[in-house]
Amino acid sequence: MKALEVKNLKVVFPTEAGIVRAVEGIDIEIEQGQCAAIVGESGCGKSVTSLAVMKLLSTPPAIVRVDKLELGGVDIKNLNDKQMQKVRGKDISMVFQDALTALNPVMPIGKQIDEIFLAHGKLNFQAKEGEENKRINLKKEAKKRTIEALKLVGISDAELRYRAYPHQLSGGMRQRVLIAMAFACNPNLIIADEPTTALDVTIQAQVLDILKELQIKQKTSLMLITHDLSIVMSMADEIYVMYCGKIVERAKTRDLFVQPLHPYTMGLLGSIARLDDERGRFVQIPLSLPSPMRKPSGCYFHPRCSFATEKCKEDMPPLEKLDDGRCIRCWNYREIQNAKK
Amino acid sequence: MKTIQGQDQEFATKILSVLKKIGITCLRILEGIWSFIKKLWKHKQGRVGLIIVALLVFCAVFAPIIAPYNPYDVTQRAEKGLSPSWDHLLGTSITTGQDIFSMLIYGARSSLSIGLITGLVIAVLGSLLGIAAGYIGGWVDTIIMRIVDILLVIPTLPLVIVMTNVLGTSYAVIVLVFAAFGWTGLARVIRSQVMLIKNANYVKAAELIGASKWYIMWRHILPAVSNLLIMSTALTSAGIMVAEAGLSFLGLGNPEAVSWGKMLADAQSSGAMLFGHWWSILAPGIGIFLAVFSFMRIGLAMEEILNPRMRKGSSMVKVFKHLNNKYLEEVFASMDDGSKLKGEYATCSINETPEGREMLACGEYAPSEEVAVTANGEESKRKEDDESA
Amino acid sequence: MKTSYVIKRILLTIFIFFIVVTLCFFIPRIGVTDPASRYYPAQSAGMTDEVYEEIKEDIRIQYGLNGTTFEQYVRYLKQLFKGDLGISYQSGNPKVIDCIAECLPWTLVLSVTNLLISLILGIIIGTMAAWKRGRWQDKALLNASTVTTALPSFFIALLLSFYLGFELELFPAYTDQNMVTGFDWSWQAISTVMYNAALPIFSMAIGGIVSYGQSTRNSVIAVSGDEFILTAKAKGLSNNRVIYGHTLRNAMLPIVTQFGMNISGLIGGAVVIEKIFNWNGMGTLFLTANSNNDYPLMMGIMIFMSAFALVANLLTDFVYSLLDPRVTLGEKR
Repeated sequence: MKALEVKNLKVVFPTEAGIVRAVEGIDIEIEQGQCAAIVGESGCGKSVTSLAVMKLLSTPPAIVRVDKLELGGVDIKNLNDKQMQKVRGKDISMVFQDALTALNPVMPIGKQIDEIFLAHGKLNFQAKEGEENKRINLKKEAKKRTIEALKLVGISDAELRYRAYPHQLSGGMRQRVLIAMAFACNPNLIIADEPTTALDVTIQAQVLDILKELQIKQKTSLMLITHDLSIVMSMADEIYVMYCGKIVERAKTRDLFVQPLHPYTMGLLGSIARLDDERGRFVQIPLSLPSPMRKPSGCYFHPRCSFATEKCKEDMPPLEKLDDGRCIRCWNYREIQNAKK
Repeated sequence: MKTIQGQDQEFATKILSVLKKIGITCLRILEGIWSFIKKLWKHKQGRVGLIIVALLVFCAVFAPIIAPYNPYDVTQRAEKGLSPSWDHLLGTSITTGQDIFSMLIYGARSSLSIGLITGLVIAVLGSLLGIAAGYIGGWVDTIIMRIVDILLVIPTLPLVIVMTNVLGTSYAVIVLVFAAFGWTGLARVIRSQVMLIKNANYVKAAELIGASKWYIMWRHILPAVSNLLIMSTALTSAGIMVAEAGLSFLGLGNPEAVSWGKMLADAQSSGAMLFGHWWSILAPGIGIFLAVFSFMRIGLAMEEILNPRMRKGSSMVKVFKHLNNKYLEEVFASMDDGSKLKGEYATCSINETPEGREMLACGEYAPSEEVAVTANGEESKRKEDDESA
Repeated sequence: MKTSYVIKRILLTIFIFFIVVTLCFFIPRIGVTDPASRYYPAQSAGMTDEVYEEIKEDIRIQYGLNGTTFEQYVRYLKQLFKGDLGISYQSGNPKVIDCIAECLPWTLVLSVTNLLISLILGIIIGTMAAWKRGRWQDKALLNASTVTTALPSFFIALLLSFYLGFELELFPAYTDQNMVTGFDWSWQAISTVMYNAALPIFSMAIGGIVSYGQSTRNSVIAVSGDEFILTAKAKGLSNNRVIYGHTLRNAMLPIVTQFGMNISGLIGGAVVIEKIFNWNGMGTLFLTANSNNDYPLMMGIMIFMSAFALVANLLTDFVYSLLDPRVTLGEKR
């Protein structure tokens, strides 16, 4: 059973200035208990993808089309907002990028986690507790579970922190709160949208460890969205490389790092530092991401690609399926590989 | 002789260079005003404001030519309390028999002049004190902000009433009194803005290379707050015009001048309501409304130009109407790998406007009724558009 | 830390109050050499200058205007310290505090009702407009605000009293003064007050409702763009829970500031409206005092209004810090 299956997801934003094609028909499959990473520069449509999967994009303005959207084998494509409320937080949840803005500044963090239990856990609670005075028991039970959840992500003196406001916690602490929130109802799938970008490097490692540990312990699937390949290396089982709203390469983590096929992936890998580095300097991808309203013709990457041919300028290459589930969107990847050898 | 001539020449060149400097400054200010007007003209609300202000200024300047009678001339008074007719478009006043239409036009003079002059005085006072408080800081800041605190607490209208009672009701006094109590809000806004700019890197860089405080204030901070200044000046002027109308309505304005507030007060006290002379109330009221309205439009337009995030979202609707269903389908189909992609097809006609780019940069997409295609491709409202197209 | 700030804040308030009292004392006296001169009787033919001077001095003492201006000032401060605002020059020489006490409730009837109506209706309408963003409800509010912000409330009042008062005779265009003198807390008296207060309250509340509505709308829209609202939705909370628990709670913070500012203008804000409807409140009292050069009454009213505003500001700050845990008192805003 697949934890998540998305087929042909397309998202556009009509704006005053023109139509922004944010996501252009992408497919994602995540096996149960696995971690898939979506990697790309900022502005390539990663975050929009995650929000579209949660069905949290407000429509209008966004226009979303998808052929298939299944969560743990359950079709959620046609669910309305009310039905989605029961799914969100319980079967699928999300860790946001900046914990300071993602937490309500005027509500104690404990109360914010309580809300999840109060929204989803009612049935469980009632089975455990007696019939009398349901409301108070519910709240007490929620608080108990919140403190457990806080302890689970390694927050010491959780009872004390329960009352703290977001601004009173450190950045790493806040991110832990978000993670506790995401794992609260033990969901099938967690989407982590740049979970560590706002943190210091040392704290990043701690937070990632907790994320990985909880994922394995609770057998949750994880969709990790990031621009940082060094995070992906230790976390993900499978990697989707995204460029300008399209997936350009999909591969198992090891394969991708050992033998990147797409010139864009090579460029991305060229810009991380490694211990066994023998190069004198980093290779960088020339130019910058094109505007989502003025994408180039043909292969979107061709203006920045050093291997581009005439064909690349005219036609968009299809996402070619190789053996062992690997996918690549490039006309010339074979030639490039041969040239490299 | 030669030395004297040399001195003369030196003196002349000095004067020339000073004149040049003054000329350049004037040109720069004029250029600033012109670019400001151009900016406003592009903004729909700003244009409405500009047109009304231009109309009112025209009325005020050419009042003797436009107005059929001179309300200050005792000999040009007609019978009291006439109803509107071709001779007297809005009738005559009940107390004095002055032509109301002429009074309306002459009234623009006092309202606009007090509003504009006070607005300017407040702009100068408020920006000077605000910049001083924000940029110099320390005890200067403390003293200025304490004064602001005090002035904000004292009830303004009673104090103004007392001051006019003591000092008289000439224009100068009214302008002075309003200016003395009106600068606080502006100074506060400017101060907080200056404190932000003060920490900007370019100001720090200028300080590092040894630019003087005056230079930084004049060349970096003043330009940075100038738009904000224009905006608040327009809004304060509007507020002052309301206050002035209120003051003359209470009978505490300049008793000799024709003003809209006084016209209202006369109409009310002479029983215009009892006689059913609605025009004698409506006319000055609409005068006040137009003046205040236009200044507010300019101020708010400026605010929106400064801060595109404030945009109200109503301007989106028009654009989305072009987005018909067929076009949308084309866009969606183009994303499939098989179909050929043409470069830059996805842009509408208006894509290169600066506003458009700003919108994208902020990630701001205002919702609209016209687009209501839901996730699973259902269409609700769009059909109507297609039919009409 | 916190208590020390509270003490500091209160001391500052007292200092400002002292400055305000000083200003209120000296401003009406600018350019006036002898404020008591208007009460002197004419010097009769047989009277020597000395006797006349004595009579004048008596009058000055009677009105508390003897001695230099500074001596008067010190005397006034001493009086004020005891809570005595002095004696009015009105006929019968009532105490200033009594005059204020007599008129204050009538002003409060107008302004408090107006404020409450504006606040409650404004929040409801503003939330609705934000909810229906871009639809006709929102546009209606936007258009209403462009019009009402430019309409002075006294012009609205004049139009209302003309149309509803004189033409349709639905509401009284002038206040019935028997309402004030014969008020006895009976049901009938209260309903008479409501009937008379309808027009003045309505003419003030139109602008108030729209202004609260517009700021609520803007605030709600700004907050609903915040990321924590997305978090709340991602948690699977119901729409109601998101709106009441998260959006409104945060969107109310600027409204509290606006409300505080309006409270501080509660007493002095209705001078013109009171004049139009002949309403026997603080504004009318002040205008009468002004035209009579009734210094103690003028000063008393102004000092009372300022004190009210000061206390209101103080309370607003404290309440705000309770509502928003990020604001720790003692830090500069």
